[in-house]
Amino acid sequence: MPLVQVGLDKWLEGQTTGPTIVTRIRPVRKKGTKPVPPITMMIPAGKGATRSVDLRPGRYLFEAYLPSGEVTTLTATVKARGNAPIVLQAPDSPHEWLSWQHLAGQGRPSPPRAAGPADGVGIAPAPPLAGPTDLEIVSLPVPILPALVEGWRSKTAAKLPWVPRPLPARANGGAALVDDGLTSYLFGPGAWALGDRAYALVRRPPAGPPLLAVLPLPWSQADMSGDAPADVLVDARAALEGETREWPVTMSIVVRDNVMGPVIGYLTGGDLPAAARIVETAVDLLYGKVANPLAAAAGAYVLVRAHAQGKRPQWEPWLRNLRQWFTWLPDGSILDGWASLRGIGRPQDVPAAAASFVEAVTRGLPFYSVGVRMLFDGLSRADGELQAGQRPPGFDAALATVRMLALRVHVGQPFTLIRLG
Amino acid sequence: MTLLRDKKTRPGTHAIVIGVGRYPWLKGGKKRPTFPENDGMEQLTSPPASARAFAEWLLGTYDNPKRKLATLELLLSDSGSQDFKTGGRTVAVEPATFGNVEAAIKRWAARSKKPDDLLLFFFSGHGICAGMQTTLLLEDFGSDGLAPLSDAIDFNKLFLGLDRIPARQQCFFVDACRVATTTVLETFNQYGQAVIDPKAALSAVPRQAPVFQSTLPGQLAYGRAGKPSYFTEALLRSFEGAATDDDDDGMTWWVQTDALQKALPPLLRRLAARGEQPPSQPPVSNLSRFPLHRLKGKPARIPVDLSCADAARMAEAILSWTDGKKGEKRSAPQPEPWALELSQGQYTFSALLRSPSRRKKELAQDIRPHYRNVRIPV
Repeated sequence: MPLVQVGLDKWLEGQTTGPTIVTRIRPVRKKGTKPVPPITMMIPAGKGATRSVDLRPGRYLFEAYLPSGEVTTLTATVKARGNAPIVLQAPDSPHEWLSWQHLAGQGRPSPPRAAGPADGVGIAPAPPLAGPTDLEIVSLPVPILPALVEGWRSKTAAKLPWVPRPLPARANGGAALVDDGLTSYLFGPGAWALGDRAYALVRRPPAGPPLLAVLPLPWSQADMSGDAPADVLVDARAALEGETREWPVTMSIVVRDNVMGPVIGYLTGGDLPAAARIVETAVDLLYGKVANPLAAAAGAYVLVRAHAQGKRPQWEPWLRNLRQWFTWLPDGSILDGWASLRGIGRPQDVPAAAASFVEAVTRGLPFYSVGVRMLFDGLSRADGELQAGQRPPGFDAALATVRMLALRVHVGQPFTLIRLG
Repeated sequence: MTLLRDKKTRPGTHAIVIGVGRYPWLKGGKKRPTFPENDGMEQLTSPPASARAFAEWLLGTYDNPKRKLATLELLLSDSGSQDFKTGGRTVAVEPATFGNVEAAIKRWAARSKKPDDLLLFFFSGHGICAGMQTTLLLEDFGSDGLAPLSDAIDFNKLFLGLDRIPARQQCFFVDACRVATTTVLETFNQYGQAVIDPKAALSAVPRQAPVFQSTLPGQLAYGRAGKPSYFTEALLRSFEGAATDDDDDGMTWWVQTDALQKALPPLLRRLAARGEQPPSQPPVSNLSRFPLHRLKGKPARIPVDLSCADAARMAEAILSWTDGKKGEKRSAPQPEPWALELSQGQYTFSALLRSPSRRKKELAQDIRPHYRNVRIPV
């Protein structure tokens, strides 16, 4: 059978992802012929990157399903020999510096703007373009969740004793990039160790309450190719347009990880099967040396959520390892708690799960918003069943804290983003 | 109880459809005193229309041979009429007060006896949706000023509680108007009633239970007096073909839950009026794949955007399409992509440039659900 190269053309500022884009190849049927099931494969995204597949000569529809939810297609004929690469074209990003955000499904497209009173009648002039939205990198020298709860109650959460962690706005030393309500930052690894928690703080947004996002730095590429920067986009377009919505300003964080960037994108967009397909092939990468526990936690969220009943999965011990080896990682406690709650590779044990969830709260803000959801759901389930004597110490306070947190978290962001108001 | 369908089909689909537009204790309502912490929430006309449209679709079109529609219970709070017309008869529908809805949800859940059953839940009305919390407000919300959330459903807890029900496939559509802030929840430190209490341990057999939620801010979603909301319209339109695939056997087109997740955003973008904020990706939670509805024919009304690859050419390009039997031409060049709705099949798209040489470029494309952005390479 002819070997055909297939890839997704997308400028990612010089990077190429691993085979992480779900692609279906469908034979184009002639009338009266029997249906042939589609082939599903993963292809890389970038410039010039392809992956090979054996196909019989014929006409095919190639469909690439991007983490953003977009689909790009191409109909092409495969010949017996001499086939040019099949290159699917990803939708354009408005700016090169938005390409990773776009791939991950963040940074929604701008609606068309009125260009101005071309004929002098009936067209309102476009509102003035905004300047940058300032963002600070900070840490907090006290346990963050009790401080936030107190701050929310007294409406002083933005005034907590945040400590600046200076970091250049762009990893290359440049200034933040700004366009039409969007402000883009690209943070390198920073001068702190893994486990020292840092946050991105928008203290004075143009509308709405101050915002705080967990900053997943430093981040090592899951494919061991070096550090991955964190691409942070502050989107104040809704505020400029006068929208009165829950989030007039948002902040999205995308790690430019060749493997985990798309995984986290699929997970956030709700396409768990696609995320699971990649992670299942990356288990050795993620858990072999655990060079990056944050990437390992993201993969574990996918595996735990996608796990169907059955034999003990090979990755189950890593949930406990994530919890025990990285005592600063709330997500490790959440994942291990869910393994106990669901009985993944171990007997169901609700009190043990509850203890894990309480421990997660003492460790601070989960890195991932899916972790906040699982923490909220896990504690709510345990709340309905555990009698007072069965509850671990601190259970009620942990539940109250997470209930407040759950009201303030942005469900559409991969990394935890909260309103401080 | 308003049971519009009651058949002993095992396994079967059991549906509950709730539409609340009349809120007597909110702004514009007839009861006094008006609930003081109403947060701007007022009377709605779209939710009953949405619920009626969804119920009509279930009764008239829904086709799931392995899980035929066994029961359908409808609750409406409509300041216009409580009537529902079906099969030549008019039924007076039970109002969607908390007591009625609580009892109906319990009956609905109890109807599922087998793991193979499918539960469908549809709610349209006011909601308090903040962060991860969704609280659904029923007709008598605000009647008890001291405990207003006793007339509301904590959807998060209800969702968890329904894991106790035998049906292992459950699908939720929550078209909740997002006007209110969290003030009420925080003031009363309560998020509503669970109706079915969750248990800590998950059921041994995992449940597939996707939740599709409207994401449009309230005023935008419900600015359609007496008509179904954008979300409901997008949902029903997607059932005609955009949310289908034939991946299971290559012959039969099914509305699949994972295809629905992909189909809704482009349809919502289409439906939002020009100049309005395009909605963001609906945050579907707990997505998994299972079939909901079988199409009788091939998928129809697939949204297709047709344009030139070079946007600058749009000002001079005459666009057209044909499937070999019929076709259409957009005569006047326009800067925007041509928003088409096409049936699944093979098409030839073309762009004729007016100047300088009347150059014509054609592109053959297979159109399949859920959306296609066709860009002719000129």
